[in-house]
Amino acid sequence: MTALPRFPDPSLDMALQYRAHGRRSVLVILASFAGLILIAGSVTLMGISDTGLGTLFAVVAEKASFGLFIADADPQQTRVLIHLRLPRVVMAIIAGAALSLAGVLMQAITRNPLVSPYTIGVSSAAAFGASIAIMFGVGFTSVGIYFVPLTAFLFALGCASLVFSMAWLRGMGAQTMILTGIALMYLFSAMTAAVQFVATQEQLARVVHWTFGSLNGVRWDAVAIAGGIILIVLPLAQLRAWQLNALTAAGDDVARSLGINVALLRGQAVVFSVIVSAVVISFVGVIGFVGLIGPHVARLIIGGDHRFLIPFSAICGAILLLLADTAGRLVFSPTVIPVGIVVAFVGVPLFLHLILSRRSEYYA
Amino acid sequence: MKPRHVLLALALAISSAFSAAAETFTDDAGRTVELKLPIERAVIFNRYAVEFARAIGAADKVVGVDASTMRDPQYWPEFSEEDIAGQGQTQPNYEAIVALNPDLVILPRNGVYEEAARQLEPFGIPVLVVTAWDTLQHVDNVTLYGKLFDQEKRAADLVDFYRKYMDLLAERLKGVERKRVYLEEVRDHVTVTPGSGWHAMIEAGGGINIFGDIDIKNEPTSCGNENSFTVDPEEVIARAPDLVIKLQPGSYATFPKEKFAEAWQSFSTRQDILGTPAGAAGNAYLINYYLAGGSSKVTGALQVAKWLYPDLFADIEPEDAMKEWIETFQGLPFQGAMTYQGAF
Amino acid sequence: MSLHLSLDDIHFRYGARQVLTGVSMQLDRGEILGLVGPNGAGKSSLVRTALGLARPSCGRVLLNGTDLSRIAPRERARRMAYVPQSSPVSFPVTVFETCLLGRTPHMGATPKPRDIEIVEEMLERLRLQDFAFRSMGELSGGERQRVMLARALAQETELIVLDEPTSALDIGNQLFTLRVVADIARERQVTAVIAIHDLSLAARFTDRLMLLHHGKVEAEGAWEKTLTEATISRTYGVQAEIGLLRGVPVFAPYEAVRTGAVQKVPSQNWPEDNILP
Repeated sequence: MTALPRFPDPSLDMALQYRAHGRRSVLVILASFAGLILIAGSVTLMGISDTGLGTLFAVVAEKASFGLFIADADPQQTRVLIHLRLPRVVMAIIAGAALSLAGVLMQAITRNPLVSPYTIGVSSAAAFGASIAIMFGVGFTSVGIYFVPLTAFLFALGCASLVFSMAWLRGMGAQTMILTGIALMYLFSAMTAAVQFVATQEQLARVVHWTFGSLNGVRWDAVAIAGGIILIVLPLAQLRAWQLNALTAAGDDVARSLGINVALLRGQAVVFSVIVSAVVISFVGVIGFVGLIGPHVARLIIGGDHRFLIPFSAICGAILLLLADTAGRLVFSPTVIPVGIVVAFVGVPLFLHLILSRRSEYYA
Repeated sequence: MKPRHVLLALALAISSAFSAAAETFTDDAGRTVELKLPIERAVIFNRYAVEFARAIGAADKVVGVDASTMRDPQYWPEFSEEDIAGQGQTQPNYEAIVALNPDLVILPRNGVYEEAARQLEPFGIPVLVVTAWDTLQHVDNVTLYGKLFDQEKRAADLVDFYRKYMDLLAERLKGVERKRVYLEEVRDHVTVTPGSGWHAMIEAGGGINIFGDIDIKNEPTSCGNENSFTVDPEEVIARAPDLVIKLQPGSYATFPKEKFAEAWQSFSTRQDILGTPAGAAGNAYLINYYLAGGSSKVTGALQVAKWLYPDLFADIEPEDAMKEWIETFQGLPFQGAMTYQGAF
Repeated sequence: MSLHLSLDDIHFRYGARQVLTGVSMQLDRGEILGLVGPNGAGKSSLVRTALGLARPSCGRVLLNGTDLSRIAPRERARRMAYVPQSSPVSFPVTVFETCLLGRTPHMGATPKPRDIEIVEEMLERLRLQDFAFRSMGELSGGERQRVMLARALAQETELIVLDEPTSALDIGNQLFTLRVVADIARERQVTAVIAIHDLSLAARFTDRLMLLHHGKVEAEGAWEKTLTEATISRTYGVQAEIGLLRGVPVFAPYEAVRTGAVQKVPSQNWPEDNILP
């Protein structure tokens, strides 16, 4: 026990310090957002064929003005930017932000930093759903391009409901949730592997392609759907930031004594996190660890106040995935390494660091 | 892209528009693709598919290949790092493809051809599915290649080469009582079943695949697919093969004798191999994966036939066919070392 | 003084176990009630029922005459606060942020200057100002418990329910913390229910005690009437000497009644001067 502190200390203005802390957090968020835009802009210019900053500006301006401004740019450069580079970069940002947002929400309602879409089995469930769709789908083109993503999405949703309802039956213990999630993760991985055995060469290639998330074939329609969903969910999550603060910092009973409907809050957070993660996974495949590392890094930098943590986690996740995908795209160019693999290489050491450095405040 | 390239592309587009009418093809995935012939700049994924192009004298029309093909650079002196258009058929680098400015991209049916077609569509680059590893389609594939690259004469030569040996095998094996063969993959206890190119090779060589009765669709999923089916070693003895063949990892660069000897050490002492009639009669061999697969595995089929029925094929040297494939069609010196057998 | 909190004939079961059987409790505004009794007597269940966190199987809870279940959660949170026995620490959160959570029922999306002012006051009052921007994880158990109390006090309610608020505190901090609670109760006419194990502290800082045993009220009233040698022996299963040292009630258990041979320890052997610091 520390000796009782001096009392009172006029030099210590807590209100001032608290406000300064808030201002600093906002500043960090704004700076990191600017950083994200800057990184996105510069990696968009990097690639096999040279593209200039002028072309990028012209292309973005033309699209942003809905064709009012006609850019006089090299048509080939323009096509590369519009159809190959920009959708990929934008999707990396969206996917990183979505997975990280899902992670921070799941971690808040379970009060456990090891929970993420990946660790509770949602990702492998989506992968299994996709492989089922690929294997037993009525056909690839006839059912429409959304058939595989839709099946993946439904499986992810099913897995999450299973994990959360089991945890709910056992009193919402984070341990139950993680253990159930790990069990399901193995089950779904095993089933995906089993499916691969009966796959023809053609199906096998598709399933494998799917189990390692890749941004190689990103389409604008996928970008629009995933982006639209995160633009809806992010503000909704942000509105509940203070309630999440109460839940993480004080526990269920105290949160309820503060007038919060904890069951409702938890239900909403589950729905939000599963929707954003499942929609991303269903389009780009399984990308692990971002949902774990994004919030972890964000928390180390900005602290546990969800008013700042939610947007900042999304930004951290976006930067992480964007850098990982750019590395996968450029380091061994022209060979493209799927972003799921790159993230695993960055993610596992960070994950181990998270476990080994488990500070007392992480585990009660 | 430099202006000079744009001009070049423009010139090519104009010339092809005038020189040849568009022709419609139905590819291996059932897609309808309209192409302007002949193809002058092709990006091809999958080694077998690139081999066919070289075999019909169209190597100079291939401007890009995948990194998996280039794993054996000695075998591909005409290509360099700059011609790589992606890791393999599931991870094409679309930017690299666009930069290579091809007028056709060829992918096998286990590649991401739909994604590729979608991504390359804005650039006006068509994607055609040709599955060169499917040995049963050899004649169709080569004939199609002949059309695509305007090398129909050379394509016919390759078809003749293939047919010559396939017909010879069929003729000499007519009415012969078929012997039983166990073919093992590089991994122990892993074999092949109908649907695999290796199975077709055994059949063409006059053998009966001892696991040829297995219909992959009726089997438990844990056992594998037609290209890698895990079997119980006891079952191998029970099915009494007259010949045992084990595939060895290989490439064009000569597979060193010591490697073969090393593999032979563990192979020749395995009880499940020694317990078969083949093992007892010393009828077991190692074979180089790369070379046995030459020209849709016709050379491998010749080798199988010779091992099974040495009297019937006394005048045939499988290595000669191999040599012809490598030297005449691939234009490289043959380095030998296709098979290995040591002492038991 | 008017009837502030009233629990009528509360029955509560947890699964197959009957935890509370017909417990009633009345508190006037500004009154401090101490809840004592051995482990498993039902103190925590009663506390949770009083707060509306647990629903009784029978009976009702009235706050100023209104049934608790008919008061909206946010309104309820403005009128009653809770200090739990222990609180989970999961993520890095500062003391100030934690304390600010007490303002939740009073504020919108983000705290106003007045909210910050109150938190500042409560942290100073509980002598936590030097820890204000430390992470909760860096604090000792006792410091954390004081933060939780500060948070509940920042909620500015007319009723506060504390479950073992001093269990992790050293004796100095126990006295200090309970004094703050008692002072605030007196100053602001705050009603308090304190579940507490330490009989001496319970007797000293509350107006009235309620002794629970097996989910029933064993005794109720002034401490001298509630905690007698007979009731302590019946409920806790120990023989205890009760006395006053400098006006402070002292309970000295000296023998477990239920365990084996009884050898009465002579009371004069107690080193009386060492009991209080």
